[in-house]
Amino acid sequence: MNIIGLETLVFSVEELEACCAFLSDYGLHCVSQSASSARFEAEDGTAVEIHTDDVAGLPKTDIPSPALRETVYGVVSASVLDEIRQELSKDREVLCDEDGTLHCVDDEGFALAFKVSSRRPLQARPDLTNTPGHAPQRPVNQPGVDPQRPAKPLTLSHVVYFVNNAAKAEAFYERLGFRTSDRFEGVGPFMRPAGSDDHHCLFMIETPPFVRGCEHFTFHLGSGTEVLQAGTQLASKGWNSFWGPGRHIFGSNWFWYFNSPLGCHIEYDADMDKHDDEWAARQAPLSADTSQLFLFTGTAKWVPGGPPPKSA
Amino acid sequence: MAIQRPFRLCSLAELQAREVAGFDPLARGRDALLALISDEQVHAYLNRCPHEPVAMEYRKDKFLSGKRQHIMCFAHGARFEKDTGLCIHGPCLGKSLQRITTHIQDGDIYIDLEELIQA
Repeated sequence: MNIIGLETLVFSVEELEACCAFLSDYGLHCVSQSASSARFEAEDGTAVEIHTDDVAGLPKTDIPSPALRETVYGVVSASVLDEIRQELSKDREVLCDEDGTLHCVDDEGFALAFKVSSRRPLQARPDLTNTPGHAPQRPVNQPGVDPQRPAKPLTLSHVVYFVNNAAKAEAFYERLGFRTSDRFEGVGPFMRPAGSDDHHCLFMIETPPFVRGCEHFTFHLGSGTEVLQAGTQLASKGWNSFWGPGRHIFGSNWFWYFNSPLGCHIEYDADMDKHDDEWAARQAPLSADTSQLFLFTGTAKWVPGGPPPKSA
Repeated sequence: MAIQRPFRLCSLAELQAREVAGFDPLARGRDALLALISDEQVHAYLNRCPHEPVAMEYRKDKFLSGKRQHIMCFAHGARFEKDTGLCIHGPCLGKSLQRITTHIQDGDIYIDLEELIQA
């Protein structure tokens, strides 16, 4: 089943205005906004939608808002939707919208939707590095740093769920053609769908029954430098860091997580590993050492010889 | 006041006006505790979620759920009763925020820095 990856994440929220401010400062484009709803897009059109509780038609949940209400996956063609419908109709209700979007609920209670992807082609600049002993990637006289160049979220990267039975949840996504890239023992799998070579677009964390919902989500930026740049800017606008910046080991992606009014933390990531079906999944116990190569803490800018830094 | 190292947070009137406020008495660059008024009583808690040892607000003083009913951790959505600090929803269900004792004198709210350092 040729599922490409995440298309849209749909949230119900309590503080629409604060969520809009966060997502805008995060770097997403607000493409529509009303008193009850807003949609924020990355460069390729993948998006986060936020709605107040009273908006009709949201998938139901007993998790109080703010909460993830639906995870929308993009697929390559309508024939893939037929495959998904045939497979999932074996043991659950699958509803079809007027526009052909499929809606169902996974084995952990997460509402899912599948639609033909409307992602726009990305035209991102390359992240070029000069390494001694290797031919220069960046031509002579081309500076690597341009302080005026914004770091923009390019595309939805991944979502992370709290699940009560990771093995059962993994088996459900395997039915949809997902493969496990790596695994934290006793925690859960990193999974990628058949239409994506990204290390993961879904990670699941096994937790007791009272821990449920979305743990975090993230968009890809263009490079590790952009993660540091965007995170520094977000922190300077008053949003609180949760974890990072740092670099993961499984997936190799740079990370920086921030608390958010969407009820989960939200990450910047970049430079994730790519895999195909030849890859053999690794596994490791979850620890500070296995989850990151290094970890730093953002701080206000200062310069030797200059005045003390402004307080964060 | 029978406290070793009194630290004035703010006046009662200011806390009433702000509804909830974070404070950084040890000048660590992040608010170490939050104070609020619930049922006409002042409550102060360590700004550390019992689920994971992180600050709970998403930005300065943003500690409350949208409807102002609960203290909320905006890392994972845990909700706490304002007057007890007990987690009633989320990954630390049944655990409590660590209370910091407050002292009221002449309309001002104080804590003991020693208690905060030991917390």
